[in-house]
Amino acid sequence: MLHLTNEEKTLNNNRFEGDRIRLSAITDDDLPIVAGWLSNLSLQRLVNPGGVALVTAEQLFDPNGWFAAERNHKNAYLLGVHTKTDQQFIGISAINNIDLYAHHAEIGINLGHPDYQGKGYGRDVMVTTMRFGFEQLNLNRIGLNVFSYNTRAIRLYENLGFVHEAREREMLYRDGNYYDNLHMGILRNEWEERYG
Amino acid sequence: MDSQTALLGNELLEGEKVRLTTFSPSDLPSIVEWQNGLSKTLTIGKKPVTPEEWLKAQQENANYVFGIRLQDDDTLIGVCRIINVIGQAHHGQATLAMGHPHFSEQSYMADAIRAILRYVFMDVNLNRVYARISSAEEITIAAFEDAGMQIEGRIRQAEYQDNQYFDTVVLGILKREWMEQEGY
Repeated sequence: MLHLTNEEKTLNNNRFEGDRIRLSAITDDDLPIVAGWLSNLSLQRLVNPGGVALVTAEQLFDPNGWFAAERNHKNAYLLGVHTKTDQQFIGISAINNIDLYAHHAEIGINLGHPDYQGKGYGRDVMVTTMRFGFEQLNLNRIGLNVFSYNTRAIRLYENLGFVHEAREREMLYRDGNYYDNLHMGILRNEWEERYG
Repeated sequence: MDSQTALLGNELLEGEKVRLTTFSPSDLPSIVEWQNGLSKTLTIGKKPVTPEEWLKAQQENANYVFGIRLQDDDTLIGVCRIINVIGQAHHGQATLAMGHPHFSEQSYMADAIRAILRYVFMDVNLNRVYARISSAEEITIAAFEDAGMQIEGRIRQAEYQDNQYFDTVVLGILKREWMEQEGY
């Protein structure tokens, strides 16, 4: 059993930490940075199932806007990702559609900071968030959906143990072509076998 | 199509035994009868709700809502909807709720689904219609397959009911598949 000092318990160090990153709440200081990331339409097209939209910091701050709704949603956690070494804000990790009856949720990560992409941080964020979902939220299943043209992410999820479960054909429209939406998932027993 | 071809009129919403019609607060007495006739509690998700709440929930956040009526005598037997339409992506989700104790069989379901698919492909001009249904609802899934939708996968253990896990079955049909199936 892990013995923590009172200080360690208060700071919840172990539950929200990965190798190089830490998960925490998103602060108002972070919002202009998020707006900058979302203004990259390539990034938007990796996570937004519909058409692209121009995003301003004001929209993210708006208490009646879509971002505030996501941040305050009672069945979701919208978490900020910071590097442990120098507290650099590098991305977002979301746990969405938490279903308290079937004990499942969906994960979605978004490493918006260009200097921290393609360097293995995605894996760190995913494993840390998955561990939080299984060990703290008592989930039985973690799922995700990913677009068929996001090959880098699909490879990462396969490497992490997510199983391909469904392919929604021609769910997305981009530049004159349709693309598919893939559902993948990992069950608690599969997680424990792999990471326990 | 040449200029001599007759365009579909009311046939857009006609099945073989059922037709798609309006669904409005004036249908409340039918919903009350469903609950009594089926001796089944109305729910939204897992939570029991009143007939008024159930009726209102069908209209909320839906793009198209239809009451399913028998062609013979206009008895309301269910509600069929298209929700979550993303115009940019040309897709929408179909839902089906059958309430009448005597007319809930697979054939009535499939009839209604075929009608809503015709409407959505020939008039609304979507490219894709999908459905997400608990694997516990085998007859409903079979009805969607009868209407032409294909199973695209299963989201494992995403549903919980009767002390066990079920999957969310994902079904989909594309406009060109439907056109071919209907002989266009």
